Amino acid sequence: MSTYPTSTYPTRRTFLGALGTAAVAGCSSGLRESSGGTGRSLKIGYVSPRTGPLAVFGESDDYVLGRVRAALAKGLSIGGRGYPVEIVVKDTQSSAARAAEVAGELIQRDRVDIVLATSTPDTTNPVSDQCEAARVPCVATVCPWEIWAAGRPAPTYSYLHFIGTEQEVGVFAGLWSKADTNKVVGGLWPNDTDGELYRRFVTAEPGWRVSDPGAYEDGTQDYTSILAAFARDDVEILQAAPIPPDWVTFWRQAAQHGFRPKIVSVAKAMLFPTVAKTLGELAEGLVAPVWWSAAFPYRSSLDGTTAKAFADGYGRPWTPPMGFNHALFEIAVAAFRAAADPKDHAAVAAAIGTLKGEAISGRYDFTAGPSKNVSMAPDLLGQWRRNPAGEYDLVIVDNTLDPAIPLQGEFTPLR
Amino acid sequence: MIAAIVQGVLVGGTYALVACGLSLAFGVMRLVNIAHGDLAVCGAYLALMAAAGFGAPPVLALVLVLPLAFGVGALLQLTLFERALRGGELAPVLVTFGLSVVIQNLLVTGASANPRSLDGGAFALAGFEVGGLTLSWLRTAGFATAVVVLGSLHLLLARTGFGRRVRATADDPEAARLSGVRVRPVFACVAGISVATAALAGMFLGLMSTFDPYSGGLILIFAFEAVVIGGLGSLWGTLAGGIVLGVTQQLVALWDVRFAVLAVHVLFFGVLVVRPVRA
Amino acid sequence: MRYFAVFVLVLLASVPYTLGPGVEQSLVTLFSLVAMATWWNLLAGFAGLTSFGQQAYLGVGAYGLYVLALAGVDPFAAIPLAAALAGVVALPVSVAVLRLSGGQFAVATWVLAEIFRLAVTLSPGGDTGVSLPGISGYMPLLRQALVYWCALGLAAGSVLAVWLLARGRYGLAARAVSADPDAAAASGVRVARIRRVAYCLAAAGAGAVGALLFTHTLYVQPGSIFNVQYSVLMMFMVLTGGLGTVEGPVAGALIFFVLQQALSAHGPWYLVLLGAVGVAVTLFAPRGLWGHLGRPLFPIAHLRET
Repeated sequence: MSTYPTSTYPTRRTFLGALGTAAVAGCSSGLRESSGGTGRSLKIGYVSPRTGPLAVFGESDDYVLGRVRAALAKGLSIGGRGYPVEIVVKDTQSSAARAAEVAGELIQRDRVDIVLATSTPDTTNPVSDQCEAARVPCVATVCPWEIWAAGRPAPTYSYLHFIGTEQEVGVFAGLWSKADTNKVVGGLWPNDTDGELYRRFVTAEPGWRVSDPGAYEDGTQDYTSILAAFARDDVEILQAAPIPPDWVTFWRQAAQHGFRPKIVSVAKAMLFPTVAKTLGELAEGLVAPVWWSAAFPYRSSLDGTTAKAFADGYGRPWTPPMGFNHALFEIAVAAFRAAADPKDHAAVAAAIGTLKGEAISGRYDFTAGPSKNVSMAPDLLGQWRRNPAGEYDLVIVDNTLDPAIPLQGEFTPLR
Repeated sequence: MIAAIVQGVLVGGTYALVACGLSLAFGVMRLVNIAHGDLAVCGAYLALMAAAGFGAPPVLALVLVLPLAFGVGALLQLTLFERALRGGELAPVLVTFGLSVVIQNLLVTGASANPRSLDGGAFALAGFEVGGLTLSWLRTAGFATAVVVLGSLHLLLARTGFGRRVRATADDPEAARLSGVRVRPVFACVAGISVATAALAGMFLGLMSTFDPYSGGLILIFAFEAVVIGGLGSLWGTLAGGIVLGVTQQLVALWDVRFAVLAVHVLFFGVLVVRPVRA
Repeated sequence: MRYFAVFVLVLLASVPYTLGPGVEQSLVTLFSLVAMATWWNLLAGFAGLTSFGQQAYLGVGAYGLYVLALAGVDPFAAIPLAAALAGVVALPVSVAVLRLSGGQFAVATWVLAEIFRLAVTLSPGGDTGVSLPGISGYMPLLRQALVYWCALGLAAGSVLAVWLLARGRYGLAARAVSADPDAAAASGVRVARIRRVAYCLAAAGAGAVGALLFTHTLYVQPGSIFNVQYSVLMMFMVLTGGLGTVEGPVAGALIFFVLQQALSAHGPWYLVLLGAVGVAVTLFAPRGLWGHLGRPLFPIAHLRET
């Protein structure tokens, strides 16, 4: 066994001792690679929650994938060679364990050349971990970069293009100061990293007094005590980051208890027209972050479709993840083109790190992010308004971070 | 503090409403119905269907849902539970757990895993003020319903001929049979009532918050805790148990919301350790 | 028979050299199912305790592994430590839960799993998951092979351990307790002790599976690992395979695995089928597939009244 040079099989375990290392190295020689190469086609794996509590995030997937498949139907021509493109789609069922499992399947059984992961840390983080361990390139989105980067070793194969929570809190605070309030901010923050980050950054923002009843559990059915705490502290600004079903429950119970602050800014849950529809008139005037909308002046780098045309083609009210999910494929294609050999995982992964460009979601730049392998997107704010047809639209009311995107209305407080 | 206690009592009423069917089935048939929470969720989905299909408001949907739930309960008793109860200690647990899995996944195939909620109109969003406290009409109605349901069940069991037969059967099915009680219909009725109250509770939960096909598990846990804390098989005890749960939850939440549900579970465990519980 | 078992084991152990990661991926799932079912069967089949809370110890194993790996212990070396931790945690818990039996025991263990889950979410990060530290140094192929061998070892070791337990004095006493606790106590069997040993061993087994799953998925989240769905699987596998036999859980795991591979494209329908089969087996064939059809490969029959 010791005939194998152990140094070529790096294990950073030293305590196993030389013997153990040699044994492991011996065992590892002759291990079989995954069977069945992928041939000439480029395979893209796509992981998103299509069912379960996070299903709203994956609601537009069929449409987005249809557009991407149509745009890539002829395949890609890279370095004078033609590559057909194949997309393999997996549903996480809103579970982190399932996300890891399907990522493993994409890597081992489908032998994909790149994995794309979208929507909440429960998807992006396990999928990125699987890709790092298997050394397969990965691009993720729709997860604030702070959560994606925290608690993991510095990424080499996985990348993220999205907004950040600290930046978002800054934008929210800018909006809050436009209204006349007592500057008391109530925090409806769930017991997860998302909630923790909002708590940390809102508390750090100077000039606001925070009323924090504590982190509640996702899926909580009763918010009476939180509402009581907000009423006691005379909260006039609400900052919330719940998952969609919890927000519906909370905001209805708030109505029952007569809690109506002047400004209600809701990350995560109020991104979606379906949630606004469920709430009906309770949705009027709620503020939500806008990281993508039909009004964005950008085009698809795959076929030149404008954001407007892309959103209109959906046939239903557009959702913000649509744009970023589409952008994932644009980034993947750009990476394939930038790599010397699109079938070489290490080369593709390295190529993503050099990318700078424009997608339907706006500009991305992986060379100058706030953290390794991160490209940061700007964050705007919108307010839900009822349109003449009786439906609710998210109207852009703050474009501080990307003035290229036009404003659509003035911000007005709830009372 | 007082606000927290009042709200806790109201919340506890909802727990008791879910729990009373569980308590009844246990008291009479020694059946721990693991699928109880899922049956409650079914009630909520049925109301949703009634609303979508006929535009029926939740109150009218009751007229449809309750008899249906009663029938389902009786049928389950005659086909599954009865046989399971004869099969020793493990069989009822495994059968009702299996039933729970079937219900959950049928709901997923039929209605998808997306969370839903029932629209109770303006009433469900309104509140009223009493002595500086804002109380929700819906929760108050839930509490009142719990008291009414538990009260009528109590009267039914204590004052009627049917109640006497149920109590006789619960004490000793064989003796009851020998003295001329037809045990099967009695048990079928009790199971029917149990499932009907579950469906009623499910509709209230659907009005108050969102539900999805997997909500049944937590509903069952809370209901079971109410039953155990209140004393097994006692109806008024179940109400007390529900209130204890609700008040504990609200009081702990005053200090930190994170510990509210944990405190309820720990309290339940404390009760188990302190009090001798024998089936 | 035994030579055949050894032959099969050697064949399976060579999979990383012959068939590669695609097959390993599926087999790791199968082996963890075998181990889960085998330990659940020790509780339900031999000690007469249906737990719906074994996911509590899956979680203890996984998070135990996380803490150990964070402290610098090699993740694979830490799997047995995590299992031992789960067994130790189970000891004080057993004092409370073993006061109960039947449906009450079942729900109480479920509540316990919820308590563990909520306790884990009190740590920083809350309900957000954690990544397994200390794994990035492994070459992907080697890591997968190690996970695979650990899974194989765990499955084979679990079956062997439960077989040895079941055919010995302990097994006899446990089955007496399962059949009739009062009669067993009257004939001098220390009922509480028998049940406690089964509970703690089953917890350690679940802990090992939890830790193993973590090395496989590399990411663990409280809501996932503490999910009652794991108990559903354990129950289904043991019931269909055959409660109280050594081979039953293995057969049940195989049945489930095949069903899952064949039917998972049909979404939740296979779970509907699973639940229905579980109910039907309990009511109409309580000895399970193996009990009705199979011949004992791992005989414990010389101690079983026939």
